[in-house]
Amino acid sequence: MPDTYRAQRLLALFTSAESAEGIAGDLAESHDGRSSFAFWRRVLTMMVALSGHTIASAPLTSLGLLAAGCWLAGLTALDAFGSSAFVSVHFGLMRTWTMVSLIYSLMYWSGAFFTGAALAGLGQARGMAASVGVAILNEALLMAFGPMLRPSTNTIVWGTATASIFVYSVAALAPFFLILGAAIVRVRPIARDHAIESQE
Amino acid sequence: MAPALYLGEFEQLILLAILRLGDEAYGVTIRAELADRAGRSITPGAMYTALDRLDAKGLIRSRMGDPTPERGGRAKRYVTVTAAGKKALTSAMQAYERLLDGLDVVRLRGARA
Repeated sequence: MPDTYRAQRLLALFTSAESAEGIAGDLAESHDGRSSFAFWRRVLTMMVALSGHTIASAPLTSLGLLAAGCWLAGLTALDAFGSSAFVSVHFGLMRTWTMVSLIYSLMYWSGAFFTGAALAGLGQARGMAASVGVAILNEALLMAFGPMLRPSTNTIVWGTATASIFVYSVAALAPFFLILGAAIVRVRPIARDHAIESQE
Repeated sequence: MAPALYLGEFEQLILLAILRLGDEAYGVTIRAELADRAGRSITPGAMYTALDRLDAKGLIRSRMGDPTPERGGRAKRYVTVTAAGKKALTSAMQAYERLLDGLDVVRLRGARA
């Protein structure tokens, strides 16, 4: 039997709790003894379909959320770059790299996390879909312009190539934190709904 | 005066399938009914998003059934057509009848590939 509980939790990020439960159960009922991979592929396809429907049902609002997400994510990324550049000017070589790496990573990822949380808080399921959109856009832009990234720190200690790989990797992982932030905000209302339903 | 609700062809098929199924209309049975009666194999994504649209328009309402082990402990989401849904469907059927009036339906059927 497929893991319908986890499937329901994932689907509920993009639709109501009631709808998610019905869909997860239907997918399990029509699973017909196929592989687990087939079940999760159908769950993923459903998530994409639900995202698309959520966005298409209010395109202007969705576009607004997407624009807000891009602006917020871009702002926090620039902030991370700027802060790491500021720190690198004031400390010695060895300590610089450790501190700069830590500051840059934490700021970039927490900025992405906050962006996702803000979008989901503002737009609920639509905000979740917008977060996924911003994440995909982030990765697409990174692939297109990533090779141009240059760390604005003292690179004598680790070398330019290592620094570039590090900067690129941190940026590439940011969408994960963005979606995580949105998912955490979305999960709380769903858990409350189930608690209310069980008390009735 | 409330604006008229216009139904797409796919939405009409889903409403008709729900009406045919009565109290047993939920995702799996609706897909099976459409495949069996209308010869349409529809994806779960297309169907559930259509159900959400119909629900948002107030043309169907849903209720949760009991969870079953066959469904991994998940309840069924049964749907029924509301009075507004029946009215919209009737309106669509009447439009078809008005458009078909005067046409040689036998000839149309003979021209079918």
